Amino acid sequence: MISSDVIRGYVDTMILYFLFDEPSYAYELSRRIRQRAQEKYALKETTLYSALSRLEQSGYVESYRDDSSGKRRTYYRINTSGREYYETKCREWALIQDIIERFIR
Amino acid sequence: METIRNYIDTMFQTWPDNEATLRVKSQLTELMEDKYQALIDQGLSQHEALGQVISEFGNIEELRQELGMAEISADEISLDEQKRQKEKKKAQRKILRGNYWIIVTVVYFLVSFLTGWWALTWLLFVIAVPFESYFDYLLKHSD
Repeated sequence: MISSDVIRGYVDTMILYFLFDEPSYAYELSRRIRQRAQEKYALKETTLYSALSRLEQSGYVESYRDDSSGKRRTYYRINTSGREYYETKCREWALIQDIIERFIR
Repeated sequence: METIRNYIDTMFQTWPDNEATLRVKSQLTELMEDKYQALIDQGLSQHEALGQVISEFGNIEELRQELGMAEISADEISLDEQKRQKEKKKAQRKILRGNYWIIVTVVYFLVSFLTGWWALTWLLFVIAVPFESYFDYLLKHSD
């Protein structure tokens, strides 16, 4: 079990990892994150919604309604500042990893 | 799915009645319903799927803080309910008041046919005039 405080900083990164390539909707993001984490981590529904809401507020993603897949859903699409933010987080993680590794036995 | 919608309604009971709340509720419902359906497709029973979806709901207080939503106290909820009931009663009274003269006319005919005192029953209309304000008073204080 991971402390939620630790992973909270990277929930946005996990979401943007997928949105970087193509728009998606909440459940699909949830499913793909869980799959990518090889079942070792899954997002709570409220956590996912908070993150998406935050990303939208910060202007990193836009939401839109779409029913082309049959069901009317809310999709999220990354934009330019979202991509920049994602890249910043990737660099940040590389740095954190570098530092913390030195303290792990 | 009705159970999920009821669950969401209950969880968000103390949230303010605004557009942001509606949006959260609708998005979370969508997410939960999608997840529920996926679990059913995987072969879980309705109970199992529902149980899993609800157990993975998360922490609503964290969500509230994240979105900066104030809490409506339990008092305010019942105040809201009280207001709604008062409005309902007011509407009912309005209808009664509007029908006062119809009631008077019906009584007039009833009494007249029953007693045959047509020569006197017209007086009912005369009495009904000042009685109207008393009737109004009775209705207002019938709570």
